[in-house]
This record gives sequence, C-alpha cells and structure tokens, in this order.
Amino acid sequence: MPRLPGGRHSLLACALALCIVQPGSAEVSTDYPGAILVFPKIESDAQRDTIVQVTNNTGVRVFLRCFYVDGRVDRDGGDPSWLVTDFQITLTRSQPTVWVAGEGLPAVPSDRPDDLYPGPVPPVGDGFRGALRCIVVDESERPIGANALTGEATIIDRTTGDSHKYPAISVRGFSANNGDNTLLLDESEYGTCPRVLLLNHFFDDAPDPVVDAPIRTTLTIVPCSMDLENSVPGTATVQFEVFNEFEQRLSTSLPVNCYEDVELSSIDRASQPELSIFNFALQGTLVGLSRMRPVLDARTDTGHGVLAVALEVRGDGLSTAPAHVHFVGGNLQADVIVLSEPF
Amino acid sequence: MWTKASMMRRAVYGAFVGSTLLLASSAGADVVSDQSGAILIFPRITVDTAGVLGPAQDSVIQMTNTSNSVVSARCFYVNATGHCSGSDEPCVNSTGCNTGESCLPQWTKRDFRLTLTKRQPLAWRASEGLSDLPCDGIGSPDGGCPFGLSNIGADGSVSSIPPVAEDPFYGELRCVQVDPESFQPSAGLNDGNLRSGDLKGEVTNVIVDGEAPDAHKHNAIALQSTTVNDNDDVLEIGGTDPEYNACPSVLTLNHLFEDAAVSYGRGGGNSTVRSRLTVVPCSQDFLNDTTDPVVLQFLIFNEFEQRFSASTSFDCWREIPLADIDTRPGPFGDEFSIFSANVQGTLGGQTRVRPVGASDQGNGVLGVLVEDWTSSSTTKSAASNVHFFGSTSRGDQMVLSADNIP
Repeated sequence: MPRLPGGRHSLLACALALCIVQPGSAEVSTDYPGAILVFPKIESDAQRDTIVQVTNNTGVRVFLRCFYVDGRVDRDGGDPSWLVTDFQITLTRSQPTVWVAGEGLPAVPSDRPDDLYPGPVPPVGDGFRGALRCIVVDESERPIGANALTGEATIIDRTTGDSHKYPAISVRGFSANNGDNTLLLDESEYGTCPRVLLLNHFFDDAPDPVVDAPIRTTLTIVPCSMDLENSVPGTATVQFEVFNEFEQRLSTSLPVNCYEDVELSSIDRASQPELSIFNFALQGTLVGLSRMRPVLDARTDTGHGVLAVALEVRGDGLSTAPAHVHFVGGNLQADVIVLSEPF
Repeated sequence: MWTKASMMRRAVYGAFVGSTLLLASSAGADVVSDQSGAILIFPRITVDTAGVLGPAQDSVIQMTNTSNSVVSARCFYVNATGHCSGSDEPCVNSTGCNTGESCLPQWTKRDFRLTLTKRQPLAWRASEGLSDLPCDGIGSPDGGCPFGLSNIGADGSVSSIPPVAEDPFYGELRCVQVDPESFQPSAGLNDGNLRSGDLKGEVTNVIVDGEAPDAHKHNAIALQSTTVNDNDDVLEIGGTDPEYNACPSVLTLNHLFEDAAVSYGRGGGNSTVRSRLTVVPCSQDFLNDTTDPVVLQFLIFNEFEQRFSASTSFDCWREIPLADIDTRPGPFGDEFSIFSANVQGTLGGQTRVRPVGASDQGNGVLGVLVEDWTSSSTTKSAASNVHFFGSTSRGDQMVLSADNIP
C-alpha cells in the first residue's frame, strides 16, 4: 500500500514542495505539457463521436500507456460500469496524432512506415461515455516524469454538425519518479490535483444574451485517483459554493463515483429544475460563479481530488460550447493512480 | 475531520506562505488560461450584429472576481477593425475593398473602470456594454446588494461598461487589476492564490446562423502578478524586474490541417476543417497609442515527423486563417499552403509559433485558435486556447493611459 512520508520527513518534504511552488499555481494545467493527460469526457454513440488529439511536445520519442474508462451507469446495479480498456502508443519527436474514438487507429498502418506509426488504438464501444487518461512511460512501461503531452478533444454531433472542443488536463511530472505502477500525485512524483475548481457559468435556463435561447450547462467530473490493478474507481464528495451577481451565496454537494456527467440543475436534486440553486429562476441573475471543493480525508492509499469539464448547451442542443474550468492551488491530500501490472 | 498529519501540513503551509511570497517575487514564470491573474487579456472580441462582414455575431464577455475582497479593474477595448482606404467601409482584408483600395486596420482604444464585489461574476454583450451593474444601486429599487456591497468604487466612481466603439468590431479587451481606492495597478489581494491576481474571464462568440445559433467559447488569458508592484502605469511583464509573469517564448497549436476531411467513425458523418489564429502582442502602449511590429516564425510538424516553416508579421491585432499565413489573403492558393492537408498528407499537425521583435522591444504574443467545421449543410465553430512554452527573454511593457488626469 503506498504511503506518504510521515513525521519530520513530511515536514521537510512539504517545506521543500512549498518552496518550489509558483504563485497561485495548481499543478494541473490546460496550458502546459504534462506527464499525465486526462480527457474527462469522451463520447461515442449514434449521435456523437469524439476526435482525440494527442501531441508529443518534446524532441524525443515518448511511449504512452492509455486507459479508456467507461463511466456509464450499469442499468442493473446502478453503479458505473467501470470498464477499462488500455492500449500503448508511441509518438516520435514533436509528433501529433489524431483518432476518432469510435474508430480508433488500425493495427496496420496504411499510409506510413511502422516507425512513424503511433500504434493501434481500439475503438470504444457503442454508447461509450467516459474518460481517457494517457501516462508517459519508458520503453519497459515504467512511468516517468517527462512532461511531453498536450491534447484536445472535439465532440461532434453527426446530425447537426455542431462541434465543441476542450483541452485535455495535464498533470506535471517530476524527476523523483520511482517508476513503479503506483503514481503519487503528491508534488514528488506528479503535481497535485487542484484544491478548488472554479466554474463561471450561466445559470440554467438563463436566456442567451444574443439569441435569447435558454442555456443549460452540463458538468463532467472525474476523480483524480483510481486503482486499475484492483479495479477500484476513485470517489469524491464535491462541495459547491454558488455565487450570483448580487454576491449571494448558496451551497450544495455532489458525490462522485468513477465518473459523473450531470446538468447543473440536477446537482442539488431539486424536485423541479427551477427550484435548483443553479437555476436562473431561483438566482435571478444571468451568470454565477461556482466554487467546487473536494472533501478530503485521512487516507493515504487514495485521494479525493477531482478534475472537470463543463459544456454549455443553447436551445435544444443545437449549439454547444465548452465552459472551461479554472484551478486554484494544489490539494492537501495526495491522489493515487494505481496502474495494472503488465504481465 | 483533519488528521494530525494534514493539520501539520496546513501549519507548515501557513508558516511558509510568507517565505514563498518572497520567493515568488523573483519568479518569472508563465501566463495561464486556467487560473486567475492580475491582467486579463481577451484576444478575440468580435461584434457584427448586422452581418456586414460575415454571419451576424456578438461576443458575450464574462468576468469574475475570484477573491473574497472587493477588486477593481481598469479595462481597455482595442479596436482593430479594418476600413477600406478609399470608401472607409469596414473590411476584413483587401479582398473586401474596391479595386486599388487597401484594408487598413485601426488601433484605437476605449477604456473604462470596474469594481467587483467579493466573488462577483458579471456578463455583458460587447455590442451593448453594461450601464447598470447589479450592485451599483442604479435602476434597482432596493438600492444595490446586501451588507452595503457596491459596484461603486471607493473613490465614488460608478462602474459602467461601454459598448464597443463600432459595429462591426474586431479587436481585444484587456483588464488590469488595480487598487480599489487609488485605481493604480496592484498585485492580487488573495493569499489563497499567493496574491497572483483575482480576475478570471471567458468570452463566448455567438453566431446567428439561420435558426440555429452557433457558439464557441475560450478563456481569457491571465498574466499573474509577481506580488512586486510599484503601482505606476507602466506594467513590467517579465524582464529583469518583473511585476507580472513573462509572456511565453513559444505558442503551440495542436490543429487539424486546412481542409482536412474527418470521418466520424462507424456512425457516419464527415466534416472538413479550417482554422483561424488570432494573435495580439503582450506589449501595448495606451498612453502614446503606439505598437511595435512583431514577426512570427512558424514551425509545422505533421504526423510523419516532417517539418516545415513559414513566417508572417503583425502590429496590434491580427486574425489570419492558417492557410493564409503563407499564401495570398482569401482562398487563392490555399491548396498549396504548407498548412493544407493536401500538402501535408496527414490530418493533424503541431505548429510552434515563435515571436521575433527588435532588440529593444518586448516581443511576447498571445493567441487563440478558432476552428470551422463544415459538414454537408452547415458550418459550426469551436475555439481553443493555445498552449504555452517558456518565457520571453526580453520583458514586455504595457503602458496605461492616465486614468485620473489632475
């Protein structure tokens, strides 16, 4: 079981970590390359598909272990299905690669020599709704802290042609990586997940100021921690503080198990949407600021940090645009990703 | 419940905040689009409510005070809308003007003051502005917000956001966090983010295209405070004595090549993609209304690890289709561009943009990318912030025009 350093060592480690922290920095980013790349929302069904872009930002070849996690709710049990599909790809220096989630990349390249081919990517199952994570490893599949990866996902509606694009969230890697399959997001092996996530959003059903169509926002949250070896999904409880334009504050909370994709007005489970604290009818102002804070505990074998993306939908789904989440600081509890052992 | 270890971590955190602030003062790091900052730059604000230069559109700007303190800002719209040299009609490039005329971009500013209460979010249409803010007591029967909170500045100045200077409008918006009493530039007020700045923002470009709207959205880019600030109107961005973190030395775009045909897997459907890059310089002189030209060097990598290069230049604001970087404006010759999927032979590419300036000037640039996805019947857009790398070796400077002339 992975453990964080304790006692005086912990003081020293913490002090050193704080000394290298940049002002206000969270160690996850959508602006800079990282050693772990998280796409919180990948969809593929009859109506939509996702175009995934992953790019190597370094001048050397990098190897990736990637994991699709299907977060759809199991109709029989009510829990997320938590189906994991993994694959390995290789990117040569500065190489970009693109695939459609529902199609993947074939085993045999049709247009290039093998040494320039990233490798096969399996297509996700029909109706897939979940996340994708890629981790930089060395040739022997041991994780390393090379900050090489940036990525984007574009979700396309086949019917309307509507598209929206969001950047993957990268987690910084550090040189003190012991290469085992237990990845500590603790400021030693990798950066921590954010302490607070900020979302500027229109309140649900607020009229768009330009076209007067009602706007609704969908929030997708994935835990930072997960145990792929023992098939244990990450969990978290996220506390929400919601401010309207009059600086009035209301709050609610949301439990997250593996993957959560929810309309804002459904978060507080109001009996009617207009009674939700995320609804325009209740708040009375066009926009709001939601501060999302994962609740911490004392465990060291897993953490409760979360990452998120949001999506604004105008009218009856005819137009979508991502509402990007901002990050504040690093979490005080480490998250842990346990990879499955290669055999 | 807090564990002993986590309480100890919090205690250490508190004890080291001071020393970290000192260290932070010498840090010359990065610009961000996913955190708050002390200078907020919206590189692309477009307004064309009548659809003169393309589909009718407007920009909805969102700005938020992320801190638990009252925050003020001085903001500047930069109007870069082009006008034909003879007819003075608005234009995007010379292909929209009469024969023999040029499309001359402007560079005029319009500034305003703003005070935001704690954690206050705001939104407004760029074409309309916001004359009455929620807590200024103007036009509201109860006189404002609870607990005496107000959008009126400590010096009595009323917050009011003007509309952009003309319609059509192409340009940018910049907001600088200032002291709520003196309205002079300042560091952030929130120890929770190490006083790096308290403003964050987004802009949604809403296009009215028939019955179905089309919207794309990107984050404002934030320059974070180093916590050192002499409170004058000359803002040092990077360099030897930085007040704000330096602009990046390289912008990285992950994009699809021009006219790349994308099929959406087993469910059918396909689109072709074109991309537009909008760039603005980090340096601005709002006092003398001058800008320096910046050359942009492009390195383009395709999926075969093949490398190409190109260059272009701009003064104050420029939006350019990728295919027009190395070919004539408009569709002429686009299929021969090194940004064309036909030339590159792969769908995806990575482009690194490196700004070059004269030896005596800052040369940082910032940008956003907008993609147009065209299927059989419609064109829909998507925007993304670009990625950043490193920091410029020379500092940039932003000079504010006097806000309170004695």
